[in-house]
Amino acid sequence: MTFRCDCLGCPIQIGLYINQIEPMKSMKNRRQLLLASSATALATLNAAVLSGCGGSGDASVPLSDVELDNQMAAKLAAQLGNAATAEALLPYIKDMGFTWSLPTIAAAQINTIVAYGFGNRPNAASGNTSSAGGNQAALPDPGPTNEALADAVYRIYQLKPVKIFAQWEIARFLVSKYNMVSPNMISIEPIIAADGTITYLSTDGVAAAVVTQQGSAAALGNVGVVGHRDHAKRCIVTSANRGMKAYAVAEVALPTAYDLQSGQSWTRQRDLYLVHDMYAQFAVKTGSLIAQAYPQG
Amino acid sequence: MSNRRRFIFLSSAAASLPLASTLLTQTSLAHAAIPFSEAELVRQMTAKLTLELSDATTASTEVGYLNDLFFNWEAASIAASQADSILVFGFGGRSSGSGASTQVASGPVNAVIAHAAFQLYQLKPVTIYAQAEVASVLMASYGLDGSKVKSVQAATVSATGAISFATLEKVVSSAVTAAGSAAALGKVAVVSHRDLSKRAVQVATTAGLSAAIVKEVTLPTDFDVLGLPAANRRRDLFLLNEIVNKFAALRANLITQAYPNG
Repeated sequence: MTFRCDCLGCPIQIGLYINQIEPMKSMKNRRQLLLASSATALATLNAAVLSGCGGSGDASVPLSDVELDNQMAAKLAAQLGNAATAEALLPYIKDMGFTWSLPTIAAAQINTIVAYGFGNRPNAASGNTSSAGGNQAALPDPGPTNEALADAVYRIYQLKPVKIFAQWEIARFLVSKYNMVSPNMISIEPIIAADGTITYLSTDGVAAAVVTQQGSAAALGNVGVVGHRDHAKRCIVTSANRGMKAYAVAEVALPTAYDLQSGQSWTRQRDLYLVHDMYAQFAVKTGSLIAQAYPQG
Repeated sequence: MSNRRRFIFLSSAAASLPLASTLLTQTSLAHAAIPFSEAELVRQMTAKLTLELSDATTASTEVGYLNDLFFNWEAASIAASQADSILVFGFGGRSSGSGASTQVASGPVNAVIAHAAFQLYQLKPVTIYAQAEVASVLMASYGLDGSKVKSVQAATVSATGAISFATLEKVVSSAVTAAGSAAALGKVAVVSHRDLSKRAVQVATTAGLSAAIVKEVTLPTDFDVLGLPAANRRRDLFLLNEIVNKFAALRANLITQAYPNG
């Protein structure tokens, strides 16, 4: 992998970032991590991938997961006054703060497509999506990001025509733009409350609805997940938490654009959305860990 | 810290992989040569996120947020002599009974928080504004009456027995109301559980208070396995929950700043 040094004004292109994400996930402790990654790390150290950079930090130090790990563990242990607690937190910090790459699968291997929406366009009746979680008075328009997601769904479908579950904002475009009117294209519709107001579906709400409609997660087989590129990791994790074997499809790039007119303000710009997404990841994970530790509350 | 880490790396290599001893020793020494520094942490985080996001500008922005959210747990501090008032945040509590007869007890962590508050009061006897679960201990065990301790925001119990402890924001706003204004509190010395103190000071500061912890007082680090809410029973879970709370506040602030009109 190549990487451009981010030191202010630094012209250096770095040839290698030592990526040990997969080994890190399977390691039981840091000692094993160190041992397992030593060959790669040493090779890179010997290659002296960074030299002459005048920015902050030590330019002679390789940029790698191992070094990142060391630095994070050291600071956290110092701040908390406890190395063991720092070690306990680090896997979550690395996963939810620093991992945005996606597990992928070849289109040929998928059995189902599940597509998660991203933002919307408000209209006069709907207004913006409530940031406080309140219900909307009327459906917004799906908006351009969901159109791009529908395009991605269609490209995957062309590679492997399988059953599609698409959040309604995407499903509208699959019908209007690609004429995908079929029992094998199922729209996951929002929940209309008794008073007529609309409960916006959460990522988990969509995943749960897909499993319910299919009868079981296993019956979906290998699931090709479609979502905005920055939402896709959480879509895949959420799908997996609902029992799906979920992946991004290797051949089809996911949309990366942000819609400045989105009805959900947190989906209008990338820096803000990532904060929103990490918040959601941590909230779900922490809730799950607390529930596991104390099932009686 | 760096010395201890060097020892770990060296001993793990020496003890565990004799067949590859040359390789490992070199690797371990290479690691040992890299002490912690703030600049190096930022450099490594920025490189990793740039790779993951394919976007150096966004990575740099996020690193600023993440460094604070994940890796800064120490609140600003002042000397006790500078304090004009003391603001004490509770740390959950315990419950007894069930259903509608559920009662909230202060519990052992609020007891040690009360002790820390009293230590501070002895250094600087100024008015204490304390969350009710701590104020009750200060009154019962330390002989401070209502003229010295203002109790704010007791936990509430629903008809089904669900307990709600006051948020940090509620405690701050109640203290301001009790004092008459934020200015009337002057320099506020915050006392709380150690792991809550960073956010407690932040919330107080956001509400317009001049707030900090006090250098001379060691804040409690205890966790109560019988405490409520459940996140307050174990340090790792509590810190993760604090990260959630910090993300929630950051998210709300960023949205408000960027889109004040929604």
